[in-house]
Amino acid sequence: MISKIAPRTTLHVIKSTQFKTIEINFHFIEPLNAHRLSARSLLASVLESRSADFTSQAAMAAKLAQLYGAGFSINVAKNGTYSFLTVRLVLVNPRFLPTQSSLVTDGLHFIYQVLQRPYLVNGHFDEQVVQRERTNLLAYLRAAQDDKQFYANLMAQAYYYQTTAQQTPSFGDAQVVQHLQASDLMDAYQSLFTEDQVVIEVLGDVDEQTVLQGLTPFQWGQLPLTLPTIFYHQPLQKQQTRRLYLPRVQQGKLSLVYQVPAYFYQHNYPAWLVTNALFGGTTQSLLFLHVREQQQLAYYADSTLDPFCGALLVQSGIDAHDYQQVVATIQQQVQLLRDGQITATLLQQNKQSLLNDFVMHLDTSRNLLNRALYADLLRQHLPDVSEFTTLINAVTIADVQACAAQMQLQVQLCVMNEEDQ
Amino acid sequence: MKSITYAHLDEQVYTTTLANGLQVMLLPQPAFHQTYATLTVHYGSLMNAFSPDGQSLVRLPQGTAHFLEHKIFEKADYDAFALFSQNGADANAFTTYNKTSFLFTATRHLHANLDILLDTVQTPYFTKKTVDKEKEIIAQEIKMYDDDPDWQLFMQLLRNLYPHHPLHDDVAGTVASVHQITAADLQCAYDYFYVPNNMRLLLVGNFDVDCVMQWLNANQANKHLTSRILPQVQTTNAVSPDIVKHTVCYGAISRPKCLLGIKNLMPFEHNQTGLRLKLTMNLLLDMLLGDDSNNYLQLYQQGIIDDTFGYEFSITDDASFVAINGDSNQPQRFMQTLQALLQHAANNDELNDDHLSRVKKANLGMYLRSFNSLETLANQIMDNDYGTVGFFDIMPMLMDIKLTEIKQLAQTFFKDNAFSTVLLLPQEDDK
Repeated sequence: MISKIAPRTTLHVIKSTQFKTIEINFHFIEPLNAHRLSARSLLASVLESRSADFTSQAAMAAKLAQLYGAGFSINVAKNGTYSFLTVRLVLVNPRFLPTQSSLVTDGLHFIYQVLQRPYLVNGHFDEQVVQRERTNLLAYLRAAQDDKQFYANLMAQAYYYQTTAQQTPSFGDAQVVQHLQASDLMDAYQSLFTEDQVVIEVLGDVDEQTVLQGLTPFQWGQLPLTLPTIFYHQPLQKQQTRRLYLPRVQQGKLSLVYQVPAYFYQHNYPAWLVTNALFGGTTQSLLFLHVREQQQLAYYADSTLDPFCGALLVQSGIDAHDYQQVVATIQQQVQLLRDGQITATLLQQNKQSLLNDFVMHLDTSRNLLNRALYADLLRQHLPDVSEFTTLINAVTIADVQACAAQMQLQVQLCVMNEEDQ
Repeated sequence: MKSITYAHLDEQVYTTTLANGLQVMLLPQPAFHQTYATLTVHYGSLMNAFSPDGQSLVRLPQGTAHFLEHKIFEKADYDAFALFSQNGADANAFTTYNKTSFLFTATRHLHANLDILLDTVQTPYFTKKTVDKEKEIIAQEIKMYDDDPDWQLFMQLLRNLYPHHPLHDDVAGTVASVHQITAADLQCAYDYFYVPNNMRLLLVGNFDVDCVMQWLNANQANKHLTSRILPQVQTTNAVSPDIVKHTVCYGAISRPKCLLGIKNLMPFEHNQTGLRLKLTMNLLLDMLLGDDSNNYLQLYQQGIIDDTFGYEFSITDDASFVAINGDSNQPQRFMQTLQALLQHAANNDELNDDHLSRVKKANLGMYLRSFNSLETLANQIMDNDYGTVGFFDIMPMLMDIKLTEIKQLAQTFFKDNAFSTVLLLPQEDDK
C-alpha cells in the first residue's frame, strides 16, 4: 500500500510474513549540502541520545529494551545529490512473543517521542549534550583514518569530486562540526519537517490502519516539493596520481576512481552491472582472477559501482613495492574488457552471479525497503526477478566493450608507509 | 530422520546422521528465496598438534587449517568457485579456532551446488605448485589484519590471557609459518580430520527436505567414504591463572584503544552447562554494562566511554573470556573504573529483578531478529551447538535464568587474578 499522507510525505506499507520482524524507516531527504550534512550528522547523534520523555541515554535504551530489544538508529547518508537522515526501528513480530503486545503502536509512538519531542532547553538543544556528542563525532571522524583502506577510498573520492558536498563524507566534516552553532542544529532539525521530502516505510506482518493511526500525531510539512534529479554529474578532468604516506602501515592501500556514465536503472544500466561484475565485482572477475589468483599481488582486489554519482571504485591491499605493477595489471583488465577478450563462460558465470545476488537480496528487509524508496524517488518501476533476468541475459560482450570504452581513470591513490615507496 | 517442531518459533528442524557418519541438519525456510548451505569440519587452528594413535604426536605449522581452507577450492582441472558461479551460487569459506566451514548461497540449481560443495570438500588436491602460489595471497591477508588496530588489540589480549595456549596464535598463522606449510602438511591434516564423521552439513532455506536427502544419499553412496577414529588433539590447560597482566603497544591510530580481558579460571563442559554459562554471562554483562544501565550512563557522561564501547563473552571448546573494549581519551580511568566495577559486580545495584526482566526481553528480541538473515541463523546454529542442546533451546533456557544465578556468576567469575589489560596508544606517544 502506498499513500500520500501529506503533500511531501509518502507512506509505504509492505505486508509480509517472511521475517520475524517489523521494520519501520523514516527517511528525511533533502538536496545535498556540505554544511547541512555535517549539521545533520551531529543532529542525528543528539536526537539519538535523549528526548523530552527519555532524558538520558539510559532511559532511551531502557525503553528500547522494553520494546523487546528493538533495534534503533538515526543515521545520515548521502546518495547522488541527495542527503538522507534515516530513522530506523526494527521490532519483533508480537506473534512470537510470550505475551500479547502492541509493539507497532508503541514503536511508532517512540519514534514520535524522539523526533517531535526533542530534549530542548530554552528552545535549543541542551549545550552539554551537544558538546559531548560533538566531541564523540569529532573523535569518530578522526578515527576514520585508522581504517587505512577506508581512508584511502575517502581520500580518492575527495580528490575526484569537484564539489564540497560530494567531497564531504556522509558523516560530516570535522572543520564544520567543530564550528556548528546551536542555531545550525535547530535549523537542521526544523528543516526535517518543513523542507524535506519524507518517505516512511513499514515492512512486516502489520495492519495498515494501525500504522496510519500511529502516524496521526506527527506534524508534516504542508508545501509541495520537487527534488532535483538524484544523479550527480561532473566534467571529466585530468587524471590525478597521489601517494599518501602514513607511518606504521603494513600494507599499501590502493584506491582508484573511474568516471563512468552508469546510473541506477537508467540508460544501459544492465550492461554496466555486467561490466562491473566482470571487472571486479565477483570472485570470477578479472581483478580477482588476475591480480589475486594469477599474479598473487593481493588478497583482495575488487570494484564497486556508485550508480548515483557515475563512479566506479577499485580497492586493493598490496605490497607497496608492487604499486606500479598492480595499477598496470588493473589497467590491462580494463583493456581486456575493451577488447572483448572475455570468454563466453566467464560472461555467463558473472551474469549468473548477478542474477543470484538479485534474488538473494529479496531475502533482506533492508533491500526490499530500499527498492520501495528508490522506486518512489525516481518515480520509476524497478524490475522484478523475471524482468531483471531478461535485462541481464540480453547483455552482450559488445555491450561490455562499449561500457569499458567509456571508463575513464580519474584518480589513482595509494596510502603507504614512506619507507616502502 | 528426526524432526522437531518448535511451535513458538514456527520452525521445524530435521536431523539425521548418514551411514558414513556425516551429520545433517535441515531447516526449511519456505518464505525465503535462497538456500544457505555450510559443510563444517571440526578442525580449526587450535588443532595443530594431535596424536593419531594415542602415542605418536603429529605437529603441523601454525595456520595449517586456514591454509587448507584456501586450497580446498582449487582442483587439478577446475576451480570450485567457477563451478559454483556457473550454477549461480556465491561460495565462501572461513576458519575459526575449532572449525572450518565451506559454504554457498544459491537461489537455483540447489542439487548441482550441493554436489559441488560435497565433491569439493571430499576430493582433495594439493600440489607443491598450488600450495606455493597461495603463500603470497595468505601473506597479504595476514598483512591486511596487521593494519587493523582492533584486531591487533584483540590478538594481544589473547596472548596475555593465554600465553601458553594455542589460542594466542592467529588463525591464519604468521607470514613465516605460512611459508613453512607444504602440500604434505595439508594432506596430513586432511586425511585425519576431513572424514565424514567429523563433518556436519547444515542447510537453511527454501528446499524440499525429501529431495535434499535423496541427493545427499546418492552423492555420498558414490564416494565410499567411511567413518574413522579421530585423532586425539593435544590439549593445553585453558583455565590456568598464568596471565600477562598488562601490555602497552603503539600503532597508527588517532586515539587510545582500550581492551580489558577477564579469563574464565573455572573449567566447564561443552554441554548444557556451557550454553547456560554463555547465556547467563550475556545477561550479566548487559545488566552491568548495557547502555540502559546507570554504569554505562555515568561512564559516558564522564567522557570515559563513547559509542565505540562494547563487550563480548567468547567461548570455545574449553576456554572462555570476557573482552571489554572502547576508544578513550582517559585510558587509565577506563581500565581502573571498569576493573573495579567488575571486581565488585555481585553487589552492583544494576543486578535486580526489574533490570533482569528488561534485559531478558531485549535478549529475546535479539534472538528472534537473528532469524531474519539465513546466514546469521546458520552461524548462530553452529556457534550454539553444545551437543545435547543448541540454538533452538535458547529461548526457554534464557527465560529460566534466575537473578541468584547471575549474582553467583558475578561473584565467582571476576577474580582479581583473571584480569588483563591491553592499551594501544597513538604513535606520537611512542617515546
